[in-house]
Amino acid sequence: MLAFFSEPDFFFRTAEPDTRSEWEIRKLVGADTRLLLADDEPAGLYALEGFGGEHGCHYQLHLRLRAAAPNAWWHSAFEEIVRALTWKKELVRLAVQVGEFDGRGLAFARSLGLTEEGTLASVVRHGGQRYGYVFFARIWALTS
Amino acid sequence: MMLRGYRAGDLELLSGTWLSGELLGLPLPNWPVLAEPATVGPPSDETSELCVAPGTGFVRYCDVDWVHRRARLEIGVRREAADSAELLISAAVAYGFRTLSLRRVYGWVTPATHPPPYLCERAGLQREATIPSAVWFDGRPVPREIWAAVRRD
Repeated sequence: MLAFFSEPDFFFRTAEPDTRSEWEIRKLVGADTRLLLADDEPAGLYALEGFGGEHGCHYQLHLRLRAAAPNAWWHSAFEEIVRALTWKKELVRLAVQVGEFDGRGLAFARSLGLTEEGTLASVVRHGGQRYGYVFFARIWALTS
Repeated sequence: MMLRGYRAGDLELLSGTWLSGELLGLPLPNWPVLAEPATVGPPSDETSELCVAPGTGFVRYCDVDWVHRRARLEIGVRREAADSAELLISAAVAYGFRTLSLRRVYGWVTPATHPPPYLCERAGLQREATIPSAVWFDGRPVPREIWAAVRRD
């Protein structure tokens, strides 16, 4: 787990992963985070946060894979997360926020065809500058 | 098949890849790898009766109504013991009628999970009703059936 955060672009709930200390990493990961494996090796982390009421069908996804992970792994991780989520409950909106500084994250979100909804400017500090978060989402039709 | 009381060491029998709350929870083949397994809590009060079949699964009577002597049955069968499902459901119904002295044993059956219908029938259960859009399963709301056995003595 800590090894992930030694990569300078492991942007999982932080814009400065490699300078975070162990206690802070444990706080970022929390109880809601799940480990992703590829070929039985740790490949990355994901966490889902629910929004709205008790069952608002709206989630924000935090997903990060190791720098060495090919883009195809990002796609299959996303699709598996969606499949697991929709297995047990209805999903209408799945949102992903990516920092403007995060080239790999942006490439993943765009290659997946997520709807780019806009940028909330100047909300996060990274490498001495302020950047915005780009909001991406996929929307499913409500069943009833 | 022997049912016995739950012990802390039986915890792994209480979770598996079946639809939650199902009368006969059989392991589902297409369970998403990232979906959490279905889990029931260890027995902790008198509103439910839970027994385990070592190496096979668990049997739980929930919502026990001791006045009217009826209860809803839930069974979970471990993947490695799927062949024992028929024995387990028969043992569960017998346990409800004989040991718990229930008159009526009922539970949920979800056709979308493709349960072999003969398993419930051979255990003496009958379909009583179909409820449309009763449960979310695999990306959509699906109907659920109520199956029950009533003791007629």
